[in-house]
Amino acid sequence: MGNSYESFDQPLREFMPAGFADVQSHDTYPLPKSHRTPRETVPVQTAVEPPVQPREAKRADLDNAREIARYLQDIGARIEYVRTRETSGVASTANTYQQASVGSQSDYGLAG
Amino acid sequence: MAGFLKKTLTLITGTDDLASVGITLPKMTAHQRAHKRPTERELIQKESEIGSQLFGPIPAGHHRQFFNLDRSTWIWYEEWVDPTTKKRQEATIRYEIHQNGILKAQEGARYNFLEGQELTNFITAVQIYYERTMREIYHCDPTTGQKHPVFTPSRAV
Repeated sequence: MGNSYESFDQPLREFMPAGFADVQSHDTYPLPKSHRTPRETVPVQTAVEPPVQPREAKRADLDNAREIARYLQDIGARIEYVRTRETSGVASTANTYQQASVGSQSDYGLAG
Repeated sequence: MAGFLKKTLTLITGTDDLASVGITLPKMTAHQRAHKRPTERELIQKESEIGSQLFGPIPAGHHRQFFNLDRSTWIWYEEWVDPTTKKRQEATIRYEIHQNGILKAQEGARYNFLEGQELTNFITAVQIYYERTMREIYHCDPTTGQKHPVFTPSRAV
């Protein structure tokens, strides 16, 4: 922890609330496939759409909610980290954010 | 702190003139005052000033606060005087970040998870709050956390 800002090495996800439009910005924290939008062209509407399974839709909503929650907790952890850094110094607070970061990394399936 | 100490010593010695009984209190220098670490409460108050501006102009007579309490709690507080009853009104909303969504907790045991436009607005507000507090209060880059050098006119020459 020589560098006091190492905790910020983990990039904060760029988050697009309006429909997760910017897929490219999520390379570090890939969103579930259900939230990805096609990069090239808008698919042509077919005559018959396959029926959406209610269970799958529910699962997608839950995944979405979890992604949002993780993102907002990342922000909360960063604010808490910087706030603590200001009030009591770097050394005593360094672990706080790192623990949050490591936890988040594994949650996102990025660790290892 | 110095005021408290002086008052205590005055009560103990029974005189306002502490120098006459051989007591001199240490004074905080301008340098010490400038480098005094802020308390968490002071920082939250500063953040809240930014937070209150995120939702457009505040109606006359209203007082608004919006701030991050801890990593999973956000607070909205609004206070105003009811024009008909002339009574002071206030509302506090707590937003809790849960694994399965954002729980909005209002007075009167009203709870619901945010969804739709309200959820989008909340996320946007948090993003802007984060960006602005990092830059304007903590003078650091929101992405890297690195502090920006603070401009001090005395050193600029």
